[in-house]
Amino acid sequence: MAKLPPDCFNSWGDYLKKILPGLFFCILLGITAWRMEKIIQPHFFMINYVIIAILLGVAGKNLVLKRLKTTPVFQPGIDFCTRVFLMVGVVILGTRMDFREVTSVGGNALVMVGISITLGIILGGIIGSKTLGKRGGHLLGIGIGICGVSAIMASAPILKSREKEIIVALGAVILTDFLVLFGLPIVAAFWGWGEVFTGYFAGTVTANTAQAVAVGHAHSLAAGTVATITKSARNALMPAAILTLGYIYTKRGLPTGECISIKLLWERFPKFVLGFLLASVFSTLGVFSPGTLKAFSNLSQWLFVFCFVGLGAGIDFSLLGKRDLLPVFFGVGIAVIIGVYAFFWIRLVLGVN
Amino acid sequence: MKNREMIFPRKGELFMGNKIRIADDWLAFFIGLFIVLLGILDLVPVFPW
Repeated sequence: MAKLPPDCFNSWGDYLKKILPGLFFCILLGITAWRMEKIIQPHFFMINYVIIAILLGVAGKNLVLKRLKTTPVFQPGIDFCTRVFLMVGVVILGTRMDFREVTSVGGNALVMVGISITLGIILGGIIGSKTLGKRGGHLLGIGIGICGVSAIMASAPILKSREKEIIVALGAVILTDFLVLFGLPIVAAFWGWGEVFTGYFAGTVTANTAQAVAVGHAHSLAAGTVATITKSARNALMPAAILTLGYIYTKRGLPTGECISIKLLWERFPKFVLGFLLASVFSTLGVFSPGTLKAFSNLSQWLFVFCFVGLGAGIDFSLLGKRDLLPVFFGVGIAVIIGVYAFFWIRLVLGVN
Repeated sequence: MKNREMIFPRKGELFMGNKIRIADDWLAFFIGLFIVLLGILDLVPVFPW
């Protein structure tokens, strides 16, 4: 992990002064993205704050900062936003994880959800190794397998993902959810799926929580309830998945021939993950009031939107090739495979039709 | 040695000159934990979303 302030700054005061313009840039465009979502989303519901913030970041950097030749002035703050705000947002995101939700879904459904997450990560790794790289593929698989944008943002610093990989993974989950949101109610109606079946299916296949709830409720109230519980169980498994990934990637990052010791693993392990886990434990113990949980949820979303602006500002689209964009479509393929697997599990193991 | 560094949380190196450095993941951990602890006291402001 990088040390702050970077070597080129003499003191914290000096560094804080340098990051202010970039922070202002990300915060201003982040607030703009939030406002624009309120205006645009009623007409084009697929365009959410994630897409708007990334596009504003791209436009701000390329149309304003580069033209005015002010990029060096803004870059330290933008870098701070994309790294530190992201990690702080992940720690706070931990308050949305409640381990008790894991048990609410039932044993067999929990196994189904656990397998679907593992399947998503493995398939992501396979697809990534042929296109974006294994790291980017895993990020994609996590997004599809666990809970979309939140899971991608939480895992990206652990996997040490590049801006390009994060944006491709975000693109894949947004496209997948878009197709599921439109496609699933049609498929469910066409084949006459039952309420509980549709709920389980929506809760397993959809990437983002809001979309899972929406797809379930589009069918019926009962389907919406089952979808919400199933999706919550998936979300609650995120700390376990993140801890496992943290271990695997820390181990993988060791120099060749280096003996693995607890001390070395600890040194390389991203420490903010501990904050995420602590926050999850506090949330499970029920120490936060509903108002505080809402405040945390909003705060992590704000931190992420500032980070999305920074991500947009950091990407050089001229470096994006067909090979990098293909995983966006492969992400849909992963969701389809998970869907086929979930279909048979719900029918044959859970005995729901 | 000019500008000697402290890399948190190495023991016994709390004050090592005029430049204190911290790994970004530790910084995020402490900021995040501070906010979480404020939450226990119900002191986190609700930013509208």
